[in-house]
Parts: sequence; structure tokens; C-alpha cells
Amino acid sequence: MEDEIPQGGFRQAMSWLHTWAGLTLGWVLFFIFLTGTAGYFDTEIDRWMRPELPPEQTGLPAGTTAETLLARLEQEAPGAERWFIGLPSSRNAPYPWMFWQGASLDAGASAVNGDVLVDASSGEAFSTRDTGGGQMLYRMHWKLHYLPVTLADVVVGFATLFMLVALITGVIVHKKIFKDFFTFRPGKGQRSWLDAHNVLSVVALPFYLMITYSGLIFMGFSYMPLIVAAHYGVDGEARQQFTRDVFDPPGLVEAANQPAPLVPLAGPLADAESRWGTGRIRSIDIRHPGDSNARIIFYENIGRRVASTGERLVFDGVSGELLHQAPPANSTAKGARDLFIGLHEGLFAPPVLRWLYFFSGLLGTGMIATGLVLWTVKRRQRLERKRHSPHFGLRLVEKLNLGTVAGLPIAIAAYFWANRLLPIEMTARADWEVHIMFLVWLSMLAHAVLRPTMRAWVEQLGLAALAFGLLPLLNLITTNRHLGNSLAVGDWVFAGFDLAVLAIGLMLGWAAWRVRQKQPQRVATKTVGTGNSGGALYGEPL
Amino acid sequence: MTATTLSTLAQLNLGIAALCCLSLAMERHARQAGAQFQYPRMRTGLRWAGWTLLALALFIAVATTGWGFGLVYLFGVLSAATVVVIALITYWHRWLVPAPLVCAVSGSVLMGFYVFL
Repeated sequence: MEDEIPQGGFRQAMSWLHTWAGLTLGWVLFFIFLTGTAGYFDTEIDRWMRPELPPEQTGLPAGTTAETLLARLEQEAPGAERWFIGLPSSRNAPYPWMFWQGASLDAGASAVNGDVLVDASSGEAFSTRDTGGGQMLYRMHWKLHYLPVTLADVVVGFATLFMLVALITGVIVHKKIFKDFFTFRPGKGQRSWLDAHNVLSVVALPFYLMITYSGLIFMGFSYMPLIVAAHYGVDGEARQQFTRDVFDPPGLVEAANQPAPLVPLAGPLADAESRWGTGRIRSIDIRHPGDSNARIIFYENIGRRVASTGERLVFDGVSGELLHQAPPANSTAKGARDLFIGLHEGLFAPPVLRWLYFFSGLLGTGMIATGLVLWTVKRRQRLERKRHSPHFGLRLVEKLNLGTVAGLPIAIAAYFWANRLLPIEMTARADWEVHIMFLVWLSMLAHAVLRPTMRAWVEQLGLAALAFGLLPLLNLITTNRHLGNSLAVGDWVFAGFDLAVLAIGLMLGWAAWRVRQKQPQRVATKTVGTGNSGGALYGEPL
Repeated sequence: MTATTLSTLAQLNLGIAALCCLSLAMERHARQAGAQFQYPRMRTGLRWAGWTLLALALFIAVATTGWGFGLVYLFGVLSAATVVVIALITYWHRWLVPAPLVCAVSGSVLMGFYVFL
């Protein structure tokens, strides 16, 4: 059998797979990578999009904050099945927050379920504009926003799987991965695009493998449901039992329906802090408050280890006795899963490392973008050599590339503009921020179709440059937390956001200028096809 | 400046120096840099220097933050360092010979700060 495969047959087959898997899923992957990369600054974007919020409230004594929140819960959510107190203990949780489930309206609860961000200084709920914030942007990278959960899971799972396939086949196809490790030859058309794609793929390859594989691990239970079903059965209750067994702290019990007063938090809290250190309690989870079977679970802050979970302490909610001290993971397999999830989310990462994560994500986004462009450059050059006009498929891919690679960044900028410009009192304001983002993206795709491709690249890159570059100005006009102010008071969340978008705007502007510079002389010499010659941009990139 | 920032800077400098050495050990890039090397003796030396500097970067990463954090830092830093070195080779190849010397020295100094402070 072996000798039937022609020379290079395996590599050619892999090349085919790499090309077509990469092309068909490239736009989804570009979206996933770009919004996911923004997600490394989800909390910071959250705060920029809620300029009403004060500086972060971490570093306060845990006992005082816990008491404040508990008092609010007693008042707002009597008879609840669950009270949850989130303490402001790190970058990931800058303000106190609380939620409750199953409160009794008859007993005077304000709502059955609730979720409130609380001002530690006043004990009142923060009143901020209605916005999706950084969380909405970050969650898009696997929820795809408009799709139902099951469909989004399937699409993202499929895309992630083929990302992994593209990475592995890419390494096989790359003939001189070591020899060309440092090689980038600008100004050589297709050669340069291939170099750029290779270089961007190799520089952060470990990151891409980690992020893709861990992305699959995230939803392993959805993608491989039969493994759980084999042990637990297939009905919904059985799956819930599985989830409880894996994720819940040990020793949780049903309510006894015997009223009993909740033990003061001070005792268990002091115990937890003596074990973990001051300020290292992440949250307090009270099950069946006011019942004789009440349980209080303390969660340790993550941030000292890469894995996504910390230790848990389970106390009896009436006697205050420590019942269980649960390790971060209850099995090696769960520990391995938590490690991959932790690596993916990077919630443990201090600022410098967070920037490196962000930078690696941008490199990955660039890898996908150059791969998409390379597909069109290769084909256009081949056609132009034969003096054929570009076929429909090629033009379609060129338009989709433009409308996505340049159009999606514009749409993300539009999301930030909408946050500042939509009327504060508008109903469904948060929804409209996102609608505007996708409407802008759609109009960029339309613009790509309607305009000559090369000119449209300059226009969209230019627009993207303005849309990002002017955000600090918009922030100056619409809030009092502008750059001058934020730099003066050392407000690094606001200063960081403004400076980052300014830098992104400058880079996009530089890209627009470069594309524009390369255009006229080349367009004049190329008369093939529709007149919107791709060779112009692709002739001398970067 | 915190210990981890110091360590990250040390890793970055050592990483750039290491990758410059490894690239100079390749004939194509050595020629780009205009270096007159006696192959293959010089090449072996550059390879050794490159891998030793990488080992030093690994050492400081793990010493400051442990294996878990340390490896995450190192991979992130090395990605950034590779981008820097590729930019040097492509646009500023005259700096390819002095850059590793400067970076190795500054990386070692930063590492020294960490070890002795």
C-alpha cells in the first residue's frame, strides 16, 4: 500500500486539510480569538464601561464587608435557599457582590432571585448604567451571543476541534519549522504572507496548543456526554447528580425545615482567615440560612496557583463547627481539568503576565488573519499569472476577510462607543450595545461587498483606527475620568484602557497608511479582472 | 518594582539574548547581520550560549514564582522575545550582534538584583 502514495502524499493531504479547515472555520475562529483576547481584560473593560463605579474596594477587612452584605441579604432575601457573599479580594472581584436564590416573597423578599453589586462604603447597591460590560464581550467567544446555548456549543466545539487540527497539520505542513523560525521576508508578495503566517504561528505555538486543548476540556462534558451517561445514566437528574459530585463541596444536605438561627459569621471567618491568610477569602456561600441543616462554605481565593479552584471549608451553619476541609480538587482528573481551565482563563495572572496573555492572544488573532489572507493571495496570484479573472469563491473570501479582519475590530469599538453614547435611561440599553456592535459588523461586511476591495481595506482600517484612537476623546467628553485625570490619580484601569485603545488605533492607522501607500502604482499596472486588484495590497505587505 | 516584575524583565533580556545567539548560529541570519563567523566553531559556541541563556531564564522564572507560574511566565516572555528578535533580524539586522551582548549583561544584572536583594 505504501508505494501507492505519491511522493509527499501525506504532507499534501495534511496541507489540504490545513487549508480547508482553516478557511471554512477561520472567520469563526477569528471572532473567538479576538473577543477571547479582549476577555483577558474583562474586569478592566467592565469598569471602563461603568464609569460611575468608584476605585476598587479590595483590601477592606473581610469581616466588616461580610457583615454588611449579610445584613442586606437578611433584609432583602428572607427565606432564601441560598445566600452568596462575594468579597472584593482581587483584581477578579473589585467590589463586594451578593446573590440569592429561592427567597420567599411572602416573607418580604424583594425578589425570588437576585444579584447585586454593593458599595462597601455605604452598604447600598451601586447604581450604574445598564451595560453588558467586558463580561458580555468575553462571553461571546463561546456563546456567540445570538445563538442558543446548544448550537453555540456545537459550533464552538467544532471550530475548536478544527483549530487543534489546523495547529497539528500546520506543524506537519511547515517544511522548515526550525530553519525558518526567525525568517520574515517583507515585500515579497505571497512569500511574505506565508512567512508572516508561519512566524505568527510558531512564536506562540505553546499558547495556541494550550488555549485550544483547554478550550475543548472546558466543554468536555457536553462534547462527550456518553462517558458521564455510562456511569450516571442519561436523564437530567442523573447529570445534575454528576455535576454535584464533581463540583460541589462535600457534605451538603437538604433543608430539615426546622428553624434555627444562623451562627454569626465571625467565628468561621476567623477560622478561614487563620488557615489561608488575611484577605484570602473569595466568597461565602450559605445554604439554607435559618434552617437547622444550614451550611456555610468558605471559598479560598485563587491566585496562588494556576489551577482554577481553591480550597473550601464547610461549616455547620448553626453550631459553627468545621465539618469538612475540602482540597481544591477531589480527584487527580478534576485537578488536571482545573489546571487546564486555570491556564485558559488566566485569572491567576498578575498585570505583567496578563499583558503577556493578551499579547499571545493578539498573535493568535494575527495568525488566523494572515492565514485567511494567504488563502486569497495565493489564488489571486495564480489567476493573475494565467490572466484569468477571479472567480466568485475567491472574491467572496476576499470580501469576508475584509469585513471580518477589519470589520470586527470596528464593531468592537462600536460596542464601546455605544456604551458612552446611548441614553442612560434607555430601555434594554445593554442589549442595544451588542445589537449596535453586530449591526456595525454587518454594515462593514456590506461595505466590503459594495466597494472595490483594496480601497475598502484602506477605508475600513482607517475607520478602525479612528474608532479606537478617538475612544479616549469620547471618554474625555462623556465622563470626568479622562486620561489627564486617570494618570494624575494613578487610576490604571482607566488610564490602561485609554492608552491601550490609543495604541491599537495608532497601529491600525499605520496599517491603513501602509495599504494605501502600496496601492496606486500597482493598481495602474494591473488591469486584470474586476479592477479591484488584490495584488496591490498583497504585493508588499507590512 | 516587585520581585516578579524584576524577574520578568530579567527573563525578557535573557530570552532576547538567547534567541539572538540561536539565530546567529544560523548561517542565513549571521550573514544578514554582516557577521564574519568562522563556521562551524562559532556556530557551536553560539548554540551553547543560546541554550545556556535560555536555561538561565528558566531558572529565574522557576526560582521566583515556582514551576506552575514560572513556566507560564517563561512561555509568554519567550513569545514576546521571539517577536523582538524577528523584528531585529528583519528591520534592524545591524543590531543583531550587539543586542545579545547588551541583553545578556542587563539580564544578568537584573537577575543579580533578584538573587542578592
